[in-house]
Amino acid sequence: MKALQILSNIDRRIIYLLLAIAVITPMIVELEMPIAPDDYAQTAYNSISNTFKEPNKRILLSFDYGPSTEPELGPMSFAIMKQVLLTDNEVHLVALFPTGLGMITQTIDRVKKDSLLLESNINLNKRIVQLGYAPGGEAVIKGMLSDIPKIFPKVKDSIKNLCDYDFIVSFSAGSPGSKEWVQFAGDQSEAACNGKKINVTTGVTAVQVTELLPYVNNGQLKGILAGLSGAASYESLVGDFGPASKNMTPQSFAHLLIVILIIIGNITYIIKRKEDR
Amino acid sequence: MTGLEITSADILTAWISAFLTLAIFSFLFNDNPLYKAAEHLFAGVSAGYGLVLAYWQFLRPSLIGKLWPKLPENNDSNILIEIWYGVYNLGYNITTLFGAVSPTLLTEGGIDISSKEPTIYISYLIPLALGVLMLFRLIPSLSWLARYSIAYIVGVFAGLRAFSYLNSDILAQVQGVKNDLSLTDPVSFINSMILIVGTISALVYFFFSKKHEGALGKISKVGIYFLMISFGASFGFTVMGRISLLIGRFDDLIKFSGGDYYYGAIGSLVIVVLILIGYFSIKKSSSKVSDNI
Repeated sequence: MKALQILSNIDRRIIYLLLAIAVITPMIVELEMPIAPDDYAQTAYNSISNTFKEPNKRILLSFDYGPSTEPELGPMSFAIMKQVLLTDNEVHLVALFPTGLGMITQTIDRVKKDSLLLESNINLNKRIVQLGYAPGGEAVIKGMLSDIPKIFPKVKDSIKNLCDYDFIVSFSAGSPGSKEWVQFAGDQSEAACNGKKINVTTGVTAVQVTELLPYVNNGQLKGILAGLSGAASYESLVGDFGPASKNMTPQSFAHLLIVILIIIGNITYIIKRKEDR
Repeated sequence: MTGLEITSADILTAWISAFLTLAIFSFLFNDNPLYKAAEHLFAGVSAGYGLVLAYWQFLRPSLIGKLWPKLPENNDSNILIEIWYGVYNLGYNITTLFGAVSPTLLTEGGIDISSKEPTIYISYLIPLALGVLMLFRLIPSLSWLARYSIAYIVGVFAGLRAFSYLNSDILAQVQGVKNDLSLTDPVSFINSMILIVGTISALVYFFFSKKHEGALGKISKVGIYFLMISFGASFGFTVMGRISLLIGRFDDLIKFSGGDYYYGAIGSLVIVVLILIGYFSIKKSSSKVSDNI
């Protein structure tokens, strides 16, 4: 029963080390795993691709995250921006997080270096419009529903309010984010835009998914990209094997390790309880 | 190589980034001053970044620019406008140290917001006053003045949220369940039934006005199972999210450990380990000395 004692008293630092090994090894070896898109990502993809089949429409992408959540949300923001630009539609960018501005710059840089977009000869400087950052969360969204130039004075003359958009996507790491875009833009758009319903979808950190799923099941959100796996699903749907797909292998290895540790923990607990009796 | 040229600034950034990442990770071993320094640096940089961004992105164009927009040269001026812009010019002179430094925070003659017909919005004095009142929190004897601003914020957000929550989280959700109970799709019907049973039983679990025994006890037990499943799903997603962030950091560390970045991650790791060894050995020897005393 010495083994049992050792297992039930593992130093937390050994677990950290095992986790680091589980994550780093597949990254160095560059193992690849097949990605099967989930239904929620498929719904988001279908809604966006159906809306932007034809050119000259507008999508609003809200960057409500910062560098700490970039590994999850960065790949999906790039994939969606590229998808919409490739069909020659306008992409407008806003940030409700101050750090979102940096993420916008980073995504634009990546988009401008994309070989498919470079070959397409689409005028990206004309097609990408940056609104900027505004503090105030839901008050900003509410304000944008009625008067965008009041909040962003340098915005194009053709944009009056959120009703001028065909789709909104929030890349969210917390509040303000997806929940606020649903509550203050999507669900209130019909009343504010003379019956026009603005579709909203979201890419979120995995932590928030369970909170937002009721909106997805009820059609208030057109699908959801759930964390890194959602980003990898979207990359596979747009046919672009990017960082999210690559990082799903270490993610899976880490999950496997955690499952094994939970099983070991439970077995040792059960055996110990029996012994104590 | 990715084909992109790596500048000396990129290399320096890589070294600093790797060093700070490893300094934060060092907490996993034990609490130490390196971790604390990195933590405080992060808090300070975040606050500074937020302040600068709020000024340039919002306060300058949307508040100062509305109160003192740059008027055209041929604008008909009067005594009131002269006085009004006199206040602005005082601020302008202070920020330029009366001409000693070039203008950065404010521009001469008002803020250019590229409007065809610049208008002075006097009503923006209200948000300005509320903002200034918030700063009184820094003066203990006058900190009560900040309560007016806080009361305004709480009132506005309570009003905004009350309607939106009712509309999106209650009415729309109930409407959705009602539609699914129409028996046209058996899967949706089963889903809705699970949703109804789960919601009611979980609510019963939090009903403490009556002892949980008999039928009430059984329903509340069902509620516990629903809550456990919900917590389990949240926990699973949280683990996934945290691992993704760890992957992001390791991704950068692996990138910075290459020759292109002069082995930034490896060099930083050596420095961090040496500092930690030094710190913990000094700590150990000083505790031995105090034990002997």
